[in-house]
Amino acid sequence: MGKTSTIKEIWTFMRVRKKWWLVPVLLLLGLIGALLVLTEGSALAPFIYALF
Amino acid sequence: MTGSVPRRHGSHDRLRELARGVLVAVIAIAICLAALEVLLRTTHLFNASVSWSEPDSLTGFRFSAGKSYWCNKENDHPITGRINQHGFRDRERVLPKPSGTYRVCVLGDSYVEAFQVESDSTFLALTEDALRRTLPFETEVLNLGRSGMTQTEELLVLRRDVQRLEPDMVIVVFMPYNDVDDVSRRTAGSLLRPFFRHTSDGDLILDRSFNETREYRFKARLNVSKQRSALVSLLAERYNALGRSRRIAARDRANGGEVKVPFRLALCTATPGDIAVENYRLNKRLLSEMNEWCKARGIRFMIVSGNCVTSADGVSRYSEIDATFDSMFYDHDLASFADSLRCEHLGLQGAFEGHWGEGGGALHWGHWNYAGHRLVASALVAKLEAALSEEPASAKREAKIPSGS
Repeated sequence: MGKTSTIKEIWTFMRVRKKWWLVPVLLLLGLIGALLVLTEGSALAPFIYALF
Repeated sequence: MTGSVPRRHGSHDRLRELARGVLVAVIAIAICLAALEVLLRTTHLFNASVSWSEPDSLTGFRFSAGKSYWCNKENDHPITGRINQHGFRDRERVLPKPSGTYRVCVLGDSYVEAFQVESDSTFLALTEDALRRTLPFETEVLNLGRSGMTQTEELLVLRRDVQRLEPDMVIVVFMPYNDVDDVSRRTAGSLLRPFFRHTSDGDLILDRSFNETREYRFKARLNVSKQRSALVSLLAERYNALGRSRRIAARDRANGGEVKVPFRLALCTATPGDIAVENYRLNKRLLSEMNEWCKARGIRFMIVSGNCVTSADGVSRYSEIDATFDSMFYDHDLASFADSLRCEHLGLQGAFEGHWGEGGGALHWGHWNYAGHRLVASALVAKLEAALSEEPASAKREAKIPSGS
């Protein structure tokens, strides 16, 4: 509920104030965050040293 | 005029507004990325740091000479330092080799590279320090380890890089963990690496086709950014680790899904399977090539077989899964293999089991911890002291000269 309302508020803010330039910024941050969270487990695999 | 006249927005104005929006978005993204980069570099959030490796068309990748590293993988604090001028995680070494110095070059994977502990706490640094105290001549033990290397890369590095370091002895540390898996294209965790394969005539053919892949070319281009950006480096590392763990998981699923000892330990059982046997035959063939290369140059050769079980209860756990499990397989098999090659051998599984048998504590985090490195160093020091006591007088002739004389 809290998360949904935050997203709604951001959306309303962007729509009302016409801050559309925020869309790509938020998308980029979301993508980076998602990649880091989704790969957390594999990066912790003790023997996997993906140095290159 | 008192009232403002509503202005008609033409398509030109709309375009200008759009362009302004795009420009603001681009600037905002750039500021965001710059802020993230500063955050990652200063806090090392998610263990981020700029890359210290670079593409290598022969071995896949190598360390960049002179680059600083920051690594926080298994220890409770980050490990920092600098790659030496020869491109290895080692102390600086002088060329040509100082007269009267006995130089031992050690090849291996992440256990030898040992980014989990400080450079001065690796088993090789401890071995060098101990030998300098006890032997009558200067001794250097060079760390030429690099994560993920198998006998394939070790043979290539030996042929390309090691001779100029003027070694008197070469040691190869065989680690059952990934050496058996990664030596073959069929079972390797990553395909962006070289592979040797046997021909029907018994010749070895080097396959460097990874150079031609789109993925490798992309990574090689991306590496320029990875060496300058902690963010790019972090994202690339996570992507690589994800791909590698998925490939390993797929291989394990294809293995039948039933509870078995891991692929790397299948050789320790009575039913290892054809693939593991074939891979191991290739491991030994490459060790044999390295031995011949060294012998042809008057360099002594030693095989160290690493421990294959990493905890005190590991042996009983695997024995419950497969009653034929023999944790000493690699120690025994490589000892007789070294005998047949007329080279030295040191097995570590016995040393680890001896330590656990006496109630000793953990020797691993994932890789060896400080105690693990100390144990391996003490076994290696004893072996080298015995081996070097038989060295010809020429080496001893230039024994340490006491300072001031």
